[in-house]
Amino acid sequence: MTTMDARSLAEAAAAAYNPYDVAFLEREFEVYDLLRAELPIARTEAITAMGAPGSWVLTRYDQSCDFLQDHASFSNQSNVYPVRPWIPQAIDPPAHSAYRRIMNPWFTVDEMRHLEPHLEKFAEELVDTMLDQGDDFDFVAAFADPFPTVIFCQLAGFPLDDYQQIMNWKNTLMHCADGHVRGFELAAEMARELGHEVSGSHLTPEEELAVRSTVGQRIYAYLGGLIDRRRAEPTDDMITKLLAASYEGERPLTQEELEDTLFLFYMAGLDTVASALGLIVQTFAANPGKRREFIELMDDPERVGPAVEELIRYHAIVLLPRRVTQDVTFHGTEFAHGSQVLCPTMAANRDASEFAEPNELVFDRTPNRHLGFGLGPHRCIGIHLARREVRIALQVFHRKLPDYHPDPERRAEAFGGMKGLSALPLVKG
Amino acid sequence: MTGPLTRVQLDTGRCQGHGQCAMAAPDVFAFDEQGFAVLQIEDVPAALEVAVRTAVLRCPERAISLMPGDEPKTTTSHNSV
Repeated sequence: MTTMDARSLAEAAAAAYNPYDVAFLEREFEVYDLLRAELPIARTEAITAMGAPGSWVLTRYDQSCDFLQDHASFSNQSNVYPVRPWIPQAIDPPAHSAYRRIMNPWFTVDEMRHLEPHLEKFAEELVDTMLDQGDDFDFVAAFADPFPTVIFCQLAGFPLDDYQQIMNWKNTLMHCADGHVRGFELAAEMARELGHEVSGSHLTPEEELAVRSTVGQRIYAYLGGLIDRRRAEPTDDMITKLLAASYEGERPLTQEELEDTLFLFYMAGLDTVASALGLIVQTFAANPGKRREFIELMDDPERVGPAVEELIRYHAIVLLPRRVTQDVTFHGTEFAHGSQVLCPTMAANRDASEFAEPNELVFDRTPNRHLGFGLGPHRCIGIHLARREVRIALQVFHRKLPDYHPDPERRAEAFGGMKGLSALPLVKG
Repeated sequence: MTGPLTRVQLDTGRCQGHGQCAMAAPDVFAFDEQGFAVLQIEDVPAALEVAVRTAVLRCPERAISLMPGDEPKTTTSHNSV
């Protein structure tokens, strides 16, 4: 291929770039490699937020690092959903830092270490139930979804009696337009309830906005009710801790701040680890050699940590959008004030100039400064919980079932955007 | 203690609490109550050098740097960098 061809292909790929399209997933790394080589800061239209003068996508690791660490030029206050900004994710420093100071102590390594026996026990129960049902099972429905989400509901203080409703709202808001089968069904149901006639397999932009606004309002109302109940009857969950918290030692959090923080917990705590686990086990199902290599090392405390990091590098799922706060030149490209810039962490994590053999799983990879948990002040607050959950889930599952393969009868179901699987049918042996 | 020392510098303005350093070199790095890294020792003996170099290579924020330290047994002042 001549340089000219590659350049025009990259321009076409940038113009058509849409990570929310599930079909994109089949060639996502090919597209990211092409963009990284030809147009590392690529102008695109598909992800333009309403009113933004332009949008860009980054694919190089070093530029992604500079971008995520520069919170002054690149703001999180971009509000992509028709809901109030989530705290602290959609807030910039210095207020962001004040909120994080409240929550950081709840998510430290020591705090998460205390959870370990509980995580192990719950993982064992779920795996036993999943494997008792016969020779085939859906790893996502029976394990990857419930494991981290039930744990997070318990930590946050979301009642497990409401679990199905909580998950349905989360799937409606997060997955109404990314190819997620159940997310679309739920959103279509809600759109019809609101008087729209949904036809075909996707919502119109108006329907999507109506559904997101409505589900957002229902979640606020639900969280408001939980806060009121906990105010009357404190326990030891995060809702109770938020009620007792002080902003900069000056005042308690307002009702809106409490709701906006719980809204973020709700969205961030109920999706990410589930998605990562689904994708990791799908890779292991298709690649028994790598699976055996992992099983071999998974009980060695020295080796399992780096191996889990490598799995998270390989299966980064997060797209990080930012809004440009002022006209700025970024690595030679002019970004106009108000533009949207997207950092797909999965693209940075496969950059060969930072990670040798980026498309290989190398369990003892060093260095491994991946962006799976983000970078800069907004790095994932649940990092130590997520790592523990991934490690314990993989250890417990593989101890009980070291051999499995993809179900030849039923296909896995993928969704794009903050990508993952909504079904992963597997067979024992 | 034998062998030369390596001095560790931690840029607390860059550290975001990923925790990789404390996993790689728990004798050198710990966490404060906010989950950010704190140095347990600044001058690292040769026995811990591999661990501390691993910590440098695993820190995604690039908040850790190394430089030659003082000779062993020399008193070091806190801010001599």
